Parts: sequence; C-alpha cells; structure tokens
Amino acid sequence: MSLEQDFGVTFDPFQEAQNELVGGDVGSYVHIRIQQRNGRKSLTTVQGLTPKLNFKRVLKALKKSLACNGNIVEDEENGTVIQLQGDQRAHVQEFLVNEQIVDAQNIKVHGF
Amino acid sequence: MSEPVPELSLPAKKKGKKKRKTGSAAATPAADEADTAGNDAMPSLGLPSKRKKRRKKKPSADSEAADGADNGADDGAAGGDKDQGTFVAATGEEYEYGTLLSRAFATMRKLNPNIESGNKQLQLEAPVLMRVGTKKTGFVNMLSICESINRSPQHVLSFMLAELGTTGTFSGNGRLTIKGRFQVKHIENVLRRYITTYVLCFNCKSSNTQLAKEQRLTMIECGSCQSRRAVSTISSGFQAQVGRRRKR
Ligand SMILES: [Zn+2]
Repeated sequence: MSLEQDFGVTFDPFQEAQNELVGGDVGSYVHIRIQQRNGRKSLTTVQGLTPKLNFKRVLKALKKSLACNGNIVEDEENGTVIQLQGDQRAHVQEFLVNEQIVDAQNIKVHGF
Repeated sequence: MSEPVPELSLPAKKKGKKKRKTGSAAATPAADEADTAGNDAMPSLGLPSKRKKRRKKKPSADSEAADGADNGADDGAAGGDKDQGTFVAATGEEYEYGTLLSRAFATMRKLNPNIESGNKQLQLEAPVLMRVGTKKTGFVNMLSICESINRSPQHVLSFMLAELGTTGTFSGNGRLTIKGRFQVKHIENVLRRYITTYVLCFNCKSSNTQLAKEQRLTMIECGSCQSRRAVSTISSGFQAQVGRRRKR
C-alpha cells in the first residue's frame, strides 16, 4: 500500500506473475478448450468461471446466442464446467467479454 | 552490407524503439500486414517476429511486391523515410531520420560483431504429419523439433496433448501418434504457443533458455540475459467424456 502512495503505482506489475504462480494457473483464468469427437464434430468446454455465477442463466444465454446445445458439468477438481456442442471457442470468448463476465485478459483459449 | 538493408531490417528487430520514434503510423500497418500474410501463406513453422524480419530483409524483390499489394507495407518499407522528420544538427547540416538510423545501426554492428548472433531467431522445420488409420495422426519429426528447441519430448508431448485435449503416445521409430485428426496448421499453432510460453525468454525473446524445476515450480532460465521466471505447469484441465462411456 505504501508503495502505491510513494510511487503512484496504479497497476500491479506482478499481477500476471501471481496469476500464474499459484500452483499452476487454475486460480483466476477461464480456460476455453476444444475436444475432438468423431468425424468433424467437437466439443467446447469452459472451465474456471466463478462459482458465484448463475450457471443456468449463462448457459441458457449461450445456447441461445450460439444456437447450439450445451450442459453444465460439476467436476470435483475443476469446479463447474460448461460444455457446448461444436467448436464455439471464439464465440464463447466474445460472449464472455461482451457480457462482462470475464476480462478478456483472463481468458485462455486452448486447442489448435 | 549495402545501404538500404539495415534500414529495412530494422522495424522487426527494434520494433518498440522504432514505433516510438516514428509515431507508429508507418510501422504498424506494415508489421501487421507482414504478420497476417505470413500466417496464411507460410508453410514452414517460424515465429511471427522472424517472419516480419525476413520479409523486410529482401529489399528489392519484396518491397516491390509489397508496393503493388498495399500501401501500408510500402510506407513502412520503402517510401516512408522521406516523410519522416529531419534532424538539424548544431552545425546546420540536415540529416534524414532514415540515414541516421541506419548509421546508428551500422556503427552498432561494427562495434559489437556478436550482437547479430545473439539476436538470432528460432526457425523451425515444419511439422510433418501423416494419417494413421482414420482416427489418428502421426507426427513424424516431433523428436527433431524438440531437439531444435532444446526441450524434452515428454514435456512437449504433455503440453500438446493438454492443448489438443486428446491422448497420444510415442510409437517405435521416434514417431508420435496422436488420437484425433489434425492438420499441419493445428500442430503449428500448438507448437508456436508452446514456444512462446516455454521456450522464449520473457525479457529478451531469446530462445537460449532452459527449464529448471524448483520445488514445485518450473522456472525458465534465460542463457542470454540470465533472467528467471516461473512458468505455469501444464494441466489439461477438465476433460469431457467423449466417445463410449465405460461400464463401471
Ligand atoms: Zn533473456
């Protein structure tokens, strides 16, 4: 705190480092992944959304705007995960940012 | 080296500096252009910054091609110098920005001959893939790529599998078999991401780095600038149930 007063630091230069440091990066990032199914079908998973979120509502809005089906999966390790049909990585990212659910810099998109 | 060459190779190498000096109008579109063009056209796997550099380095053929293609690249590569401000020395002589810049770099190179080799960018061979059956993809030159980025195949493998959300193994003859159908560009993307997170130094972008385990953290240590930084561990995260469900 005193650092901020002394130097007028308005941002935390170690923010990024801290995010990644805590035992891997499970903490604060939202991971959007893709998994191949059979044929040209695939599956998009969204992991790491804050538990405070009303997942049902978010899923409903996602399904409607992306025109795909999806569901919510409770995972012991990874918390509540949203699954969507098809490669929706770009769409989901856009959605989360536009609805101000997640900061753009806290989203990590995986896959090819 | 002939006169225009250093000028043209500059923007990629000292991008930050150049942008600040020129007010970025000339530099950015050209750089972006090179980047996107490279992504689409280039089959070989190189890092984005390398591409920019290489594109600018061939002054005669490439800048002419760029002339026809778009004005942005034209400004950045060839025509921009005239528009830039001139510096009037105390003696009253006028120097053009471009001339001064190339002179500075020529002097720098002359005084530090090894500066070039230190800046050498990573250039990788393109991944060679082959289909194994209908559902698997073979990655033929995985080992040699790992060797050239100086990382253990196991580490690269676990990253790739986590990113692609699949499983895979090394089959005999040093070949990697990944479940799922993948194209060269997919693998290229994943490798590029691996390199930016686990190979390139965060400070100097050098590829002369090592991974070291420290307690639970993996650190990346730079051999060029001696910086150390923790990198995130590879975790595949949530894996959805695909395919047939196993009986319990
Ligand atoms: Zn370094």
